Amino acid sequence: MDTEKFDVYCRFNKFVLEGEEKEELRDLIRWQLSQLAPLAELDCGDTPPMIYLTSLRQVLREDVAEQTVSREEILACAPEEMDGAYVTPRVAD
Amino acid sequence: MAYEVVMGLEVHAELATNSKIFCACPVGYGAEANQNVCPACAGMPGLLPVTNKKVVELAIAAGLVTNCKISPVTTFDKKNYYYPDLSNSYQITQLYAPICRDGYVEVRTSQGVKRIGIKQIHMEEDAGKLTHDDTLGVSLVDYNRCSVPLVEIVSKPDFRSAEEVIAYLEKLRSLLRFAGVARARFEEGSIRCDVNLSVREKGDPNFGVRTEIKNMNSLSAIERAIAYETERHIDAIEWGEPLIQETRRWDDAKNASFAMREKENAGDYFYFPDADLAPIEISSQWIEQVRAALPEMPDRKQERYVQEWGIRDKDAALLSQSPSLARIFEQSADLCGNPKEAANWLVGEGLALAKKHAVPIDDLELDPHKLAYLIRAVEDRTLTRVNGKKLFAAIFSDDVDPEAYVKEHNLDAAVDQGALEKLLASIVAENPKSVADYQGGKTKALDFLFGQAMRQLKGAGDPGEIRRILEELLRPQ
Amino acid sequence: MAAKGFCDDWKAGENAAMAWTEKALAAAGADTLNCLTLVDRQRAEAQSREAQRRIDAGLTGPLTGLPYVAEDGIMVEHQISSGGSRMLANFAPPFGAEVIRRLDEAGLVLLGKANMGELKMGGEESSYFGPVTHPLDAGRRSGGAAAAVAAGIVPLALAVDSLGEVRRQAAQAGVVCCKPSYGTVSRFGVIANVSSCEQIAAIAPVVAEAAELLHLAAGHDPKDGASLPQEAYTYDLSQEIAGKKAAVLVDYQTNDYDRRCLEQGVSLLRRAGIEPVEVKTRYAAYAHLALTAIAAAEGCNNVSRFDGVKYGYRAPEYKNMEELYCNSRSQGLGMEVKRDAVLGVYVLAKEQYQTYYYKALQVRHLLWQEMNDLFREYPLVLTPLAAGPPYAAGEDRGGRLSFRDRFYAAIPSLLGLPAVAFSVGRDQAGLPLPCQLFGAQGQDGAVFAAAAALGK
Repeated sequence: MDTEKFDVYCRFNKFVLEGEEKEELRDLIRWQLSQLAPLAELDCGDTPPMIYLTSLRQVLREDVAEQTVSREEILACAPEEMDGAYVTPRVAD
Repeated sequence: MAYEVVMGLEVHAELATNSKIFCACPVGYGAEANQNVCPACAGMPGLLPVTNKKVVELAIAAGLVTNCKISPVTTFDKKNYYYPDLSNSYQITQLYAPICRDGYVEVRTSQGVKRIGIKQIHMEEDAGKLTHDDTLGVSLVDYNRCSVPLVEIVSKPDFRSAEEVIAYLEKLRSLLRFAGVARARFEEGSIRCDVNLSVREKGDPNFGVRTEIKNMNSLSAIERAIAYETERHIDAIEWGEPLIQETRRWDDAKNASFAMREKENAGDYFYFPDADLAPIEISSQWIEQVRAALPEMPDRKQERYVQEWGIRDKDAALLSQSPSLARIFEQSADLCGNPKEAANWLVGEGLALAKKHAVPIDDLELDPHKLAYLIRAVEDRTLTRVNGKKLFAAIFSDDVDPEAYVKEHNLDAAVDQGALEKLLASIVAENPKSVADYQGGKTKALDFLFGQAMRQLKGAGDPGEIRRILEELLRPQ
Repeated sequence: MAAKGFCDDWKAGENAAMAWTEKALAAAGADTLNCLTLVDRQRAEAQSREAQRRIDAGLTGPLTGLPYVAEDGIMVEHQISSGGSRMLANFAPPFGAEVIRRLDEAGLVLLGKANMGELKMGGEESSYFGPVTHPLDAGRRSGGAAAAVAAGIVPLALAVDSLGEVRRQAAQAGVVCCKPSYGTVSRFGVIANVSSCEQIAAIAPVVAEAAELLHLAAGHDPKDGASLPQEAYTYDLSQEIAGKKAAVLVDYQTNDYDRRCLEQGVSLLRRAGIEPVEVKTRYAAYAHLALTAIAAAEGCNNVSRFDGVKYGYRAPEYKNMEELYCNSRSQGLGMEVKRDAVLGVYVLAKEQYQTYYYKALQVRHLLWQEMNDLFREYPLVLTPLAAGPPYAAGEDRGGRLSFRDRFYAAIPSLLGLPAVAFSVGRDQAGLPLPCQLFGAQGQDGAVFAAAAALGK
């Protein structure tokens, strides 16, 4: 992973790192990718991917509305709340 | 140089369910902020999505009414991006195996009938809503809409004019509403449309640079946005300015489009399959069940109105544009036994009144029993057409009881013949000048006397009969 | 030969659930290993009173009244559930995990929460609450749940088997860890890392007790879409094991330590009448690589919801939304979580998708086929669980050693197979040598029974 990609992927994850911490993370990821090299080099042909571990088909839920947890309990976890809404700095629409 | 605009549409419609797509929170408008929220749609950890069966059925129905193929197995994927209206920082959607593919919708424009291809329809969850407080410099986040079920209907790039786009949207809206799939109202955001637009020289087989326009909340805004964006592209081409592929936001107040925030232009959403949602199998039996439960669609209704009931094609099209209007029409036609008259009244009076009072056709509420009463009364000549219109207006605005209203306002046309003749005779006697004018050849004078009679009768009495009696009275003795 | 567990000791000489809980509370109070992040005395005492009522009424199961701890990523309603992360250090969810509900119902006593690697992504050094000291060697590291059982604070623990680390930690602490097949225990209310394959596992001194705990914890839950339809699970540990064949994967002979583990494991198998056969596989050596790529992708996505908006850590200073996100996440999440998150985006990005993530899913498929072929002849597979003794203090910073040992533990994680981890002997320093047995999906009972037959 080159520096530019590293920065882009950190940015996407909303990580802003400086100095030693940034170096440590970059080293760690370089090392991790070097460890993954045999996987990248393996030829799996056209083997289909295995996404799900069971052969289950999805069991669907009936369309019944239900309130499980109160609004107060959910909002009680919020770092900042106003008039029942979560508060963030002003964002664009 | 001649240019051609090429457009494709992405239409999002909120599905008409009771609960959200992956959690059981209620769905609805007008709730207080974060009232319809649970740990799952508030983005807490440890929650696992469980899909609402009705969502799948409505998506199948959407596919059926747009002539799509329904996938035998359909799966969900995650789309990653950060924005405060997205509580989980990812949206569950369908990238790799959408539920419907390869359909079409036929639209009618001034150029005739055209088939617009549907590339795919997929299910996904909506994001929450942001409001802004500029004095405090904050945004307020409400997750009520977060995880509300949507279908995204992706068309092929088959549109060549704004007229086609509007015709398609009207048609699609009507199909979704008739099928009970969605409320599909632009004004409340329960249907939304993004337009992908590019411009090329006529005859060029390649597409031009494409921009995506978002945030139009009415058909007229869509029309204006297309006009604006088309011109912007043509200008750029003619002046040799570079166009970039980007997402643009329509600003209705400024009547212009603007490049959107970075989020929308990020390019990579790091999609991958959602392992918590096993594949959904859709059997042909299930599809047939959904198909069997579908009500009659607008095209078929229109055809039936014309063929079975002899309604004019234009009226039939108007009456079949909305499920509620079609229901009012069909029920009042059945009740009064005269579909043509029912059509005349609804098109002539109902739609005119709706327009005058700016009532959306979808919100039109008229009791078919009352309309049938009105139509029969006019047919029986116990109510004149003029008074029928008064009664219609009263039913339209106040849902009055027709029988009581007629009585109260003395609208009954069955005026005693003797009394009528006596009244008309007195009017003739009181207006010697008009009589003389008439007899002198100014036939218009009859209209004045007729008007006097109508005023005094307050609309009662058969106008034809009144005219006949007046003519008789005025005939030189 | 049935192993004797702590549960019996716990019960022997005592006649009151409340006394057991008091004993556990006292031990927890004296904990020097840092294996617990939270002790909820009030809840524990209330539960033990309730358990006592049941015992007095004769309404008891084998584990009624016994105290246990749950790893901190298993959420308990209105109790801090941090997942070992600063990000959630103040997070008390308004709902709890399905397993906790089930164990509450069964009359067990939840003593508190066990320390863990940050959000299951981090290794032994990554917890925001500091590392866990090994119960047998103060200079080494362990996992919170394994250490709490091994140190005798509680006889039972629930832990999330995400990348196999809890199996290694349990076996190296001299206790056992039973991991059921994927889909057996509800993941509802568990902070997720590798959604597609992680399962809640039971840690106990002996297999019989861990299996009993799983019996109470397992069963269909409509709130978990990947939950299998089976309503209840019982594990017959007395089933005939002698005469079965076990594949001993020679892929895992890389150094003296893992060879020693295998040797000891093989001799245990022989003693129990199981025939060990050395087998070389084609794809086993790729299992931990595939697991790492899948874990990064899924883990990155699972931690993206921690953004300082709805709950959890919010940085004290920010000028705009972007800074709120960046400062909260940069300060709230540790190095190893950041590593997986950046790696996750890397493997999912269009340019690399085929090379890592998609390839990992293909490897999973190839290994699935290979293992299922193997299971037809060998219902059991034996592997070591580590390349060396428990990590020395500070040694696993960055998670390099955790990754090294994932090599051994990966197959049951990647394929959702039932596994039991246990010690097969001691090294020169007297520390347990770790091995695991695993089998085909759904063969949990046979795998647990085999480990029990080894005297575990």
